[in-house]
Amino acid sequence: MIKDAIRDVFKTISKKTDYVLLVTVLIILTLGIINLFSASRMEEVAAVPLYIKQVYWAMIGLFMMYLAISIDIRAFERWAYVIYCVTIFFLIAVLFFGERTGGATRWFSLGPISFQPSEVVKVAMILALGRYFQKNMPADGLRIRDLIIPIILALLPVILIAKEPDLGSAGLVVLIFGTVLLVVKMRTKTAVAFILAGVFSTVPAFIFGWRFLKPYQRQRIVTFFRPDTDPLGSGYHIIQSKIAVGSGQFFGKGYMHGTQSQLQFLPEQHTDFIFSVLAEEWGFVGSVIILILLSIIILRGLYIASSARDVFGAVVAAGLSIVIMWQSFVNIGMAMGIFPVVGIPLPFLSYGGTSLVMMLIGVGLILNVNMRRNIF
Amino acid sequence: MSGDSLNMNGPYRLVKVGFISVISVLLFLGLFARLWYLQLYMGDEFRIMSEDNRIRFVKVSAPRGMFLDRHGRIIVDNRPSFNVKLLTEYVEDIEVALTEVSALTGVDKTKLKANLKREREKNPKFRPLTVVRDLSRDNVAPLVSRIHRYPATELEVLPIRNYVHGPLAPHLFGYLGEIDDDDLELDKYRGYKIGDIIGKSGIEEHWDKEIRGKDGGIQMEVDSKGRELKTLGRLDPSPGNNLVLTIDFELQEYARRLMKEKDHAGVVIAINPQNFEILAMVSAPDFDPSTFARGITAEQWNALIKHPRHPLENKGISGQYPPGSTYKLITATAGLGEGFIDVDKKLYCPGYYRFGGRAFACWKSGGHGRVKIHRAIVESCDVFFYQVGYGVGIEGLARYGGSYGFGKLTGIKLSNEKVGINPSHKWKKDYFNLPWYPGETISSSIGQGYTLVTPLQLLVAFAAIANGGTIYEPKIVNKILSPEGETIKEYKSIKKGEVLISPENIEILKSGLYGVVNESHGTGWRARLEGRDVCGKTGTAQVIAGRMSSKYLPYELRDHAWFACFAPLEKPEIAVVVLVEHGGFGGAAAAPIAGAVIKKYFELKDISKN
Repeated sequence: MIKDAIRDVFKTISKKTDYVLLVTVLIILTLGIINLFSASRMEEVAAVPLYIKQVYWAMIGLFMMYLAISIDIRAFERWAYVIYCVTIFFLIAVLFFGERTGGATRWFSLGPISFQPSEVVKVAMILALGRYFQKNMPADGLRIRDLIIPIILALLPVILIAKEPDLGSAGLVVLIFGTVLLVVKMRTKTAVAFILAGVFSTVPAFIFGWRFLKPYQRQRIVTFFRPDTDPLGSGYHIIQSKIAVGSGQFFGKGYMHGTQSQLQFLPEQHTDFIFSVLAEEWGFVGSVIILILLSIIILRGLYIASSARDVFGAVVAAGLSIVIMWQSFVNIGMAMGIFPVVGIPLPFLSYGGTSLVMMLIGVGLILNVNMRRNIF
Repeated sequence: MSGDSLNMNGPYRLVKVGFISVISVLLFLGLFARLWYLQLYMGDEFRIMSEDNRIRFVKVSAPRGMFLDRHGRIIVDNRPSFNVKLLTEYVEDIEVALTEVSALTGVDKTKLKANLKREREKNPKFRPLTVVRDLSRDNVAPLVSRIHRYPATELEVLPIRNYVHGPLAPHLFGYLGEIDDDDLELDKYRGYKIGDIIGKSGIEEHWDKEIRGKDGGIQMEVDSKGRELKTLGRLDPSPGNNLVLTIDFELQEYARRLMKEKDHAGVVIAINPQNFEILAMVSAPDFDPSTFARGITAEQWNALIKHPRHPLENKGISGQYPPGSTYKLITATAGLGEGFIDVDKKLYCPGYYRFGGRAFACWKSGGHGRVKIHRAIVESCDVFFYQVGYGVGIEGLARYGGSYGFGKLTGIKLSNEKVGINPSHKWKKDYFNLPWYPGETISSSIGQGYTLVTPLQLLVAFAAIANGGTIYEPKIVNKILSPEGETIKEYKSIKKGEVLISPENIEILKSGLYGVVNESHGTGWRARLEGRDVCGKTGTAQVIAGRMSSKYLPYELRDHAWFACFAPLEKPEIAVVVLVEHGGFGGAAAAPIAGAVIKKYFELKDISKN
């Protein structure tokens, strides 16, 4: 029985699997857990240590990834809107029944596990966009009116996430959506309108949005530009994180020997600032390896998108690679002080069940697109 | 399904990733450049910052919110407590350091060692460890002037609980303690950190999030020896919100003293029957919550939990007792409601009631003769209620009892509330897998069967009769105030249900309860108050079967004494329940206490009026 099941797993996976992507993900996943062990060792004394929980999550994630590979990609296309609607439903429900932590309701508790719908919606949105473009794309590119439904598909989660409030994640969804539009073919007129709208909406959005920000959110933006004005709040995070990264130097201070992380100068070091721990202990060498691994995953995903058999597969593979790209860039940029502190997890490395599982599902979908590119 | 037009055009023409691949490479090159700058170009500087100069963050605990009584008088606030901490990471020789601390504080060195060992076990590495807790005031002044000479020693000033009027209502307030590892796993405590002080019971527990405030901190630059070089920043703690309780501190203290002076174990609860605000809630014996504030020792804790009279338990909500004759209120309601009796129906009491070959005795061996419901309540005639109870059956009793709130939580916002037992066929089937025997209905009808109530449940039933039949959720906190004194939240009365009783029948019961206290032969005459029209019912709950007078029994086998009442008859303002564990006859042990509490209530009211 079990033997058969295992053989089944391998059969599914071995069939035209992109081993470059799969192996890179497995390596980075392993490094992530090793790093998390060091990061969370001092942080809290709980019944189940964080890194063990992350191992459980990784196992769940790998299983889900296997499912995402083995189900025919056309099923995802068929069910894309349903998946999207269910996720939106959860985003609405979290506003009413979510757990309040730190002034925001982002979490659901289902018994012992809690999950964050805003992590799921990124994947769901990509699937829905893929399905829309698959069905509604004129051969000579998108017209302006073809963008109406995609904009609604993106705006709905953005508004709901902003309402939690989690402006960082909401902004990320906008960023992802905008970037996905860059990969689909548009008519010249559409592209010009899209770029103009993007440029001209930034300034008013900033001025208008400023009034809606909570004081702590304004504070974060101010302190990003002037960290010294708030050395105890988010300015503290930026200063300490930069010290951690910088003091790692070329070879790092050694595993579990990072003073910044082991003495807990870093806040949220198992989630938002996980990269700082890595950079401090593994130095420039380790950090560059991580950057290279992430780049391989992203570029490989984009390559798979380019050879997909249809628009749905291409948009899904490209979109998910874009999710990984932006999250990596924003999170690592945050740790090195070139981006404001926004609380975006680093794919495969930050502690967090929903994020990890969704990232692995995303990888599964990309692999799936690759595997079925020649099936007509 | 794979569209013809799509395949002809090919997705590669519609989706292009070249541009985005370039962007992603550029973004990562940007990160690479930044990494180069921070780690290689600026690396030496950051390495020095991380090693030689450390920025230390010292937590400044927020004071917990105060508790005020219903008239706004402070009953719980905070005082500073001075703790001495040792920064073991900067200590070279622990023996020397401890000798120094001992000389500084006057605390015995062996005790310091024991404290240090205990702290080591529960703290992660590098945390400053508390070796002396709550240093006496006399030792603080010399310490403050000399402590700067010992960089590895730190004086911590923590706000701790100060009970302005002593252990006034420890069960209501609850006590504090460090958060457990298991608690940290709970969703309720998401965002809490190890070492946090939380409410472990009572109001401190239930309103913890409201009153805990937000900790602040001082960020300072220290050298490698831990000496402070300069303060970089400071974040003042914000104090927690204050709570306005429903209790009246003078009435509470008076009731507490009454129980303490008589050395009773038991319960006194006073409530406003119109809105179920709790005016006083005493569980005796009690404990001194300030021992918890100072950090309780293992011996003190063991003494509390092993005490035979359970001082930590709030008996008003966690103690379950047979209601005894106070249950006749339910039997009477059921009899009247089902039409088995009316106000003029007479039943005969020869002093016993024969059923199934067994004689169930009345407490009065000669019997009461032919009595109507009024006299039956006044004189607490058992045989009358045996017949009524048998007439309506256990299902009838359970239905009416349930409408009074028996067998259900009252909903008071305190943990460890018990539900009691409101027996029925189904209950017995579920618990014992046995059928209900008719004989059990007979003892149930005078509150001696399986029925168990908490004192608060019984009070709720009597308060509902007092206000015309409405049950509310008992309330202990009226308002949440911000530290500046603005009202953040006001708790409204929450209606829980209506008792199954008509207004006419309420009047019949009320007149009976009035008679219990104010008529000749009434069992509750000791609670009588001139001009206050106290109405109540006595109860004596047997701990063991038999009719032996409690005087001849050992303490733990004596009957529990009950008295539940309200006053005045018209527009009642206060309802009181008194339970004296093993106190014997309810009319003798419990009624005088209830009477005294009511008397005090009206005295306080008159004073505040003038």
